[in-house]
Amino acid sequence: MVEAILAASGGTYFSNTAFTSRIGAAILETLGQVAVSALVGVVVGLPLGLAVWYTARTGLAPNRLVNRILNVVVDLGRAIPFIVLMLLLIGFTRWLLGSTIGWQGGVPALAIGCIPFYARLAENAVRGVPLGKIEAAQMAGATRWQITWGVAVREARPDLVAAATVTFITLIGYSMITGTIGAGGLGDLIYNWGYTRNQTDILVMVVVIVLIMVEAIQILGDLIVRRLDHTR
Amino acid sequence: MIELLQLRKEFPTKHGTVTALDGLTLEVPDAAIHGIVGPSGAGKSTLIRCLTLLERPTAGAVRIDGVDLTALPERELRQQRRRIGMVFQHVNLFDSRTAGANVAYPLRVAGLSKTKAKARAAELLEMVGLADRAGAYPAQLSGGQQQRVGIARALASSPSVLLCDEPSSALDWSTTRHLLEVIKNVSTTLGLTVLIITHEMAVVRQVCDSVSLLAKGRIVQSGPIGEVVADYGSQLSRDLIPLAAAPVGETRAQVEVSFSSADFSIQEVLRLLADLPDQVAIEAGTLETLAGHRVGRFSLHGQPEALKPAIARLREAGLYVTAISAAEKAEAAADSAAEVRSEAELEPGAAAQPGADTQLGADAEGGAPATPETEGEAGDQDAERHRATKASEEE
Repeated sequence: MVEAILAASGGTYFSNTAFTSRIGAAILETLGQVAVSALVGVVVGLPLGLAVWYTARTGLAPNRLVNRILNVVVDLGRAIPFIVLMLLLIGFTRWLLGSTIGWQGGVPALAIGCIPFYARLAENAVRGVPLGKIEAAQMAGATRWQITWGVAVREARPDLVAAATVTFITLIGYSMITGTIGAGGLGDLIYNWGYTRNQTDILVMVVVIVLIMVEAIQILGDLIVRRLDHTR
Repeated sequence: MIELLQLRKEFPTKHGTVTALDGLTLEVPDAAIHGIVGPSGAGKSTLIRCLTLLERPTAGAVRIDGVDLTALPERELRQQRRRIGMVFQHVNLFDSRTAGANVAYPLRVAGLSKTKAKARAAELLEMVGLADRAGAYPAQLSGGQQQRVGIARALASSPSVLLCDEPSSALDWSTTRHLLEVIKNVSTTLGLTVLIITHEMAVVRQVCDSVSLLAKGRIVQSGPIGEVVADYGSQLSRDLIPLAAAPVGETRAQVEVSFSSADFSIQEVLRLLADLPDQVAIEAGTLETLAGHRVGRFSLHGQPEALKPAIARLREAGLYVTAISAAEKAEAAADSAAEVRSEAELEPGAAAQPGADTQLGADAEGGAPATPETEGEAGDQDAERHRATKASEEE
């Protein structure tokens, strides 16, 4: 099939040097951009999600006001369209990194967009831990801190990893958009080479590559979930 | 020692305040196994949640070994909770930890080193007969094994009190029996005070030294098993010594005679029953040893006119006889016009025996006949238990 495409196109698809010379670096840039953003998103989003759970009515330290505020923050954060967030953050990104060019340029917007997204998913995951287990830990004399990390987060680990997988894949999609502000990666290939220079073959191939990446990450995520899940 | 003093719990709802515990007072002495029974909605769960301060009581005190838990700040409450072992209805093991790690958890959070906690967990698992399953995850264990791990975890911090909230509700009868055996053993060897919340009378019969009946947030009957059983007409006595329900024909009547070796010579009672005329049928009966006493209950059927003199004879001998249907209820109906239901039920019997109550009227105090519903329930429970025993192959 590949031969057929090559024979028919000549200078397009896999013989398109604009594509072949850039694709390797582009994949790595996108993966780097998404990985760093997801890491920040999870590291900040998890505590935020936990805080929502912690202060909820059935949480360890119910606090109506704090809970309401945190919920609003999480929901507003998710309500802002990514493209708006990205454009709004151009100034911040320039101040932080000196420029929006290069794969790092997409990180601030992706990371900040990711935080409330993962926070909500994490909160849902932790809320799924039966109250009885929390009470068992309370009766064992555990502190709230010990219960939060040793029971709630630990018991929710499979769900938290599944949520991280969803987050990672969603971020791959959003990272394509950052190509429009010059933030490298596959998004750059799509926008500056495929779209601007009207090379449909590049668009098609990038989509195929993204599809493979998404599938690989999903499989990896499922694998980790299976490892952590001892309930079946 | 567990002391509950005027414990009160109210839940505010949209439709006003619901009182789940209504000034409940209870004392369980050291090393005793006490059962709390009651219909659903009686406040059993609320009681145990208030007792552990998982739910804060509205008023009253909870004293464990003399320490009032309701007065303690969070930090000290945490310390005191280590003196209370809790076995949950839904077991509530941590799925992400092995059986050994579950048992070690209370020790780990108390700051014990991993190796020491592991060694102690192994001891505890051995005590509940699961020494070889320390490395198994809860999902790999059967329901009965999970609950035994739950008991081992509850015992990890060497508590003086063990609370069991419906510990066997998800288990079949043979597994339950085994589990109760384990609870009884650990309570004896460790000198634990045990409180078991249950809806199964069989659980009380097997392990409890004393029992309380909870209804509408109050304790309505309480005492050592021998005592409550000998209170023949009481709800607990009837529930603890259930009789299979036998069908009663339209024209036949049914009474129950109850006795305990605390008050009577069993041989004498049996002779008395054997001497009853042939027209009185002994349809069902039980005789067993409970809390050191032999206690029995027999169900007598017959035409009202044949039953009346028999009842008189038994009562003369001092036995407790209570009406279940027909003839005897005619008597109750005559004595209290308020009992509309029994009156309606009794039409045929009452019509057949006009004025017959003069003979027996003197003993109207024996009153409080059990309602037909409770009788049926006891029968169902019994049947269910037998089925469970047959069906179980586990362990």
